[in-house]
Amino acid sequence: MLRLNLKLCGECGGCVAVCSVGALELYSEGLKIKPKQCTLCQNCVIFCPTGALQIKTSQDKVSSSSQT
Amino acid sequence: MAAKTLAEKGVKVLLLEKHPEIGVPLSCAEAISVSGLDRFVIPDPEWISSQIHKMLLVSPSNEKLTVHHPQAGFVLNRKIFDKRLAQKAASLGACVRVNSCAVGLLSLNKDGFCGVKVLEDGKEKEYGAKAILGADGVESWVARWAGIDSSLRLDQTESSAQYLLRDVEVEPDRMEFYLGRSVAPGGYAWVFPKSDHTANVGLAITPDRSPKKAKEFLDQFVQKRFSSFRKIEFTMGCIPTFNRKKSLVKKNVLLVGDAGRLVESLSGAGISNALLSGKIAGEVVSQFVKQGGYSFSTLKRYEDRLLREKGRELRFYSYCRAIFLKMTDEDFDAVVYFLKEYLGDRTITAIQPIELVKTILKSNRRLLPLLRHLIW
Repeated sequence: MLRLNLKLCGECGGCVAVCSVGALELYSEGLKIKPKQCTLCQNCVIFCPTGALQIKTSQDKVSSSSQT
Repeated sequence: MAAKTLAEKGVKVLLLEKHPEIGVPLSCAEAISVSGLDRFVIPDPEWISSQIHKMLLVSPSNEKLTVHHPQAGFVLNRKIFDKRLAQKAASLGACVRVNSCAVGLLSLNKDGFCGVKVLEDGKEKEYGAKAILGADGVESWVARWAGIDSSLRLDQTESSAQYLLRDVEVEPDRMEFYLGRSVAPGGYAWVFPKSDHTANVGLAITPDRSPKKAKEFLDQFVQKRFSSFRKIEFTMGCIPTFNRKKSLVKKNVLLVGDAGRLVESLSGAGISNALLSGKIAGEVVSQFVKQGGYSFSTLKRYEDRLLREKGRELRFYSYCRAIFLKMTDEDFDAVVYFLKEYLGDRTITAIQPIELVKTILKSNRRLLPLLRHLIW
């Protein structure tokens, strides 16, 4: 699943521009992800200048929760 | 610029800004050539941060070339510049609404889209319109709503990051450009002075060729270039590249500026083209509205006029970018060495970009094969 780190997002809109399926929208309140439309192509993840977008798997959740 | 042009011509115009303040947040390095600015507006010291007379180009092996070019350009204060443009449009009769985010176009009929759906103070509102101009930047949803495929491939973008730094040692009339795979792969780093101790310091990289994020490269560059600094602001952005295959008009929707990908693909410069496209779009839409707003062929003149004036140059810089992306650090070094000899201590008053690029490529046997990218 695509995850956004709000602290790193500068709302530049680049991820929206490289998303070919329209799974991201930038509102005045910030970036919104439409998970149902996301194909996990990772274009937005590769583009993001700060690494604010990442793909997280359920395994990531388990390992991160086991770390904490 | 489009709203100002339309208002000047007496057309009823509504300018929607999704943010609470025009010009904020900033996503721009703010540099523009003198000729790119003064044909549209009279430069005003209020929104000119610095005047540029020199350029420093630094190769990957730290070879330095200084080009003296009096009156080469400006570094703007876009936060003020954009506001003043909007105020000018408003003083001419345009209605300017901030905190007003377009969320869709109103249904299509034979006359095109009949308006926009907008979110204002949490409430949905509808505004009717004879023509709609998408000036909504690189992420343009207006383009998508109109059915124009505006998504960019990764290789058609530059991922950029920039700090506004204070207490830095810079020459207030000199722009600096840094090349090299370790500095900014597929792009370059810049230092654009805003005063004798403040500068926009940023870089752009081609994201699918880079092992690290733009911000990581920028932090590394800033540490290396400046012995002391204070970070005032951080901005990031997407610089699109021009794509002549993408349409700028669909029915009664027109795309201007970054929304139309009207950017010089080599330098990433977009302010001047945004002003030009806004002006032409304003003139064409005014004609369209005065004719009753039914003839879409009138609107197509926007694209025709713009590409007649700028198409060749925009295509040229696309080819230059293709060459640039194929160049190695050794090639960049060779170019800087060559230019040092070629330009010497001469003061430049005008640059013929096409001739200069051809001369550079012919200067080095390694670069010669890249000339084929310039044949169009």
